[in-house]
Amino acid sequence: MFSPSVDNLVNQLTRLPGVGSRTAQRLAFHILQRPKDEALALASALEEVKERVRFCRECGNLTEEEVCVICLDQRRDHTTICVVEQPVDVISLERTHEYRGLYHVLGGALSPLDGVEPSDLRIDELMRRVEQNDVREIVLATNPTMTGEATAAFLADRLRDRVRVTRLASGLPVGGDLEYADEVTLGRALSGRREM
Amino acid sequence: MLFVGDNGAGKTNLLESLHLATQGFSPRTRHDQQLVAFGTEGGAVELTVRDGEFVRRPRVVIPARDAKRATLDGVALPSAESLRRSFTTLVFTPDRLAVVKGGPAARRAYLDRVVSRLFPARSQLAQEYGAALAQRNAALRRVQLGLSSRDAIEPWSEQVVTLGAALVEARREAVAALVDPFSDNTGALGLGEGTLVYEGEALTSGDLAAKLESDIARGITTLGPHLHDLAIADGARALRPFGSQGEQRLAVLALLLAEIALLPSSPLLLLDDVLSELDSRRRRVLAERVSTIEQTVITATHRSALPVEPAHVVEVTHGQAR
Repeated sequence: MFSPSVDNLVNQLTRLPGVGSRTAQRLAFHILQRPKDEALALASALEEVKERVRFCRECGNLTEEEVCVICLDQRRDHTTICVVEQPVDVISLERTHEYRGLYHVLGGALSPLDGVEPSDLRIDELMRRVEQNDVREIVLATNPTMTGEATAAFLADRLRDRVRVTRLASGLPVGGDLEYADEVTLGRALSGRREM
Repeated sequence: MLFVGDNGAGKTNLLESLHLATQGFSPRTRHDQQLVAFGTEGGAVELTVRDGEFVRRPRVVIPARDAKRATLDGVALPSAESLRRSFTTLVFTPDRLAVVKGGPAARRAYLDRVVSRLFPARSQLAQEYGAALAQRNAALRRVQLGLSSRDAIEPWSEQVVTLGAALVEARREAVAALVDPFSDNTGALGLGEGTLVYEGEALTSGDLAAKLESDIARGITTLGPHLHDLAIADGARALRPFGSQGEQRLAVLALLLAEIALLPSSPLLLLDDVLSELDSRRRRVLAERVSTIEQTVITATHRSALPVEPAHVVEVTHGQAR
């Protein structure tokens, strides 16, 4: 519409998640209006990230080395592995400063409707880690969605006899009022209530 | 309250707008643009709802070429459907006869609606079960086509069994709650002794495993609550094949009244074209039964169709109400 190279930039931006054609257009014009070095800094950041960042050989988390800093950290508890769907989930759990074990990033959740099979996830790698290292507990921290629950069930069936398997609890958000909780969350919290 | 007017005068439209303004959707269609009057761009419904001294103002707007929005007392709601948390509206339209005379899918959908009204914490159950089932079916087809191994079906069988068992339990609880008020209402409406029986057993993983080979061959799950039914009968006589049109109508009304008896608070009841096909004695019983409900709106072509004196009569002509 404007020039082939602007169209190309708009098309490339549209491929990003959550970016529609209008947002892509706005971003493209913003980039055009900024000084050249600013745009080039963005381009080289993209290039660098694809060049340097890879998946950790052990846990599948993002890293710039062969093995990520978490897996290398000897102060961490190497007998506990927390299984998550995506690298971004590692960041969330790390923010708590409560978990001191290792991670295992599956790279998604089982979903036959989307063609995601056990072989598409890093499940064999997890089994190998459990067998080869002295792992005592697996914490299943896949999302509390249908696909996340099914993935957790699939893993639990395979791990139960070899190691202690736990699942994150689901319930009420801390600091929230019961008044604002939806019926489904509140119902689940009620059925998962505990003795005091 | 009685809405009177000739055929095509706009009585059902008025009723539909009451449903839209209190529940956030039409009982007739999910295509919201169909609700907007011909020749106009967008539309809105606003109500003043008085409950004792308490006044609430729900408002639903359907803009041209955009999704509908709702506010309650001027405060925007996350979705128009969330009005359901503030108001309960039950509706009878001639389409609802499908619950008695239609296929099992209509009865399952009805039962799941009752489940979500009676047990709000379990309102997502039917939807979740459906999602797990779709995943299992996809897994079955992928194994059939050689794209995937058998162990990929397993987690979905587990989900189908767990959610299926919970869904069957919720449906059975709903049926158990409905049975007595249903038979009480069929008795009063002169339909004899109404019975409701849930037809279907909770699924076990053993049952599902036994069917695995044939399920893979067919590419679908051939067992589970998605194939269950609700038997609606008058004594030993099933009403779907053997009931007359009038009896089927009475059965739907008895179900509706039974559901109302179970609700914690009195709902808004909308009865569209309910009086046709009923004799005068049954009209009277129905009118007396609904008079105990806080607010009922009935449509009819003639004032004389209603054997009791309504609190208000609204005459509808050519899309105008007064």
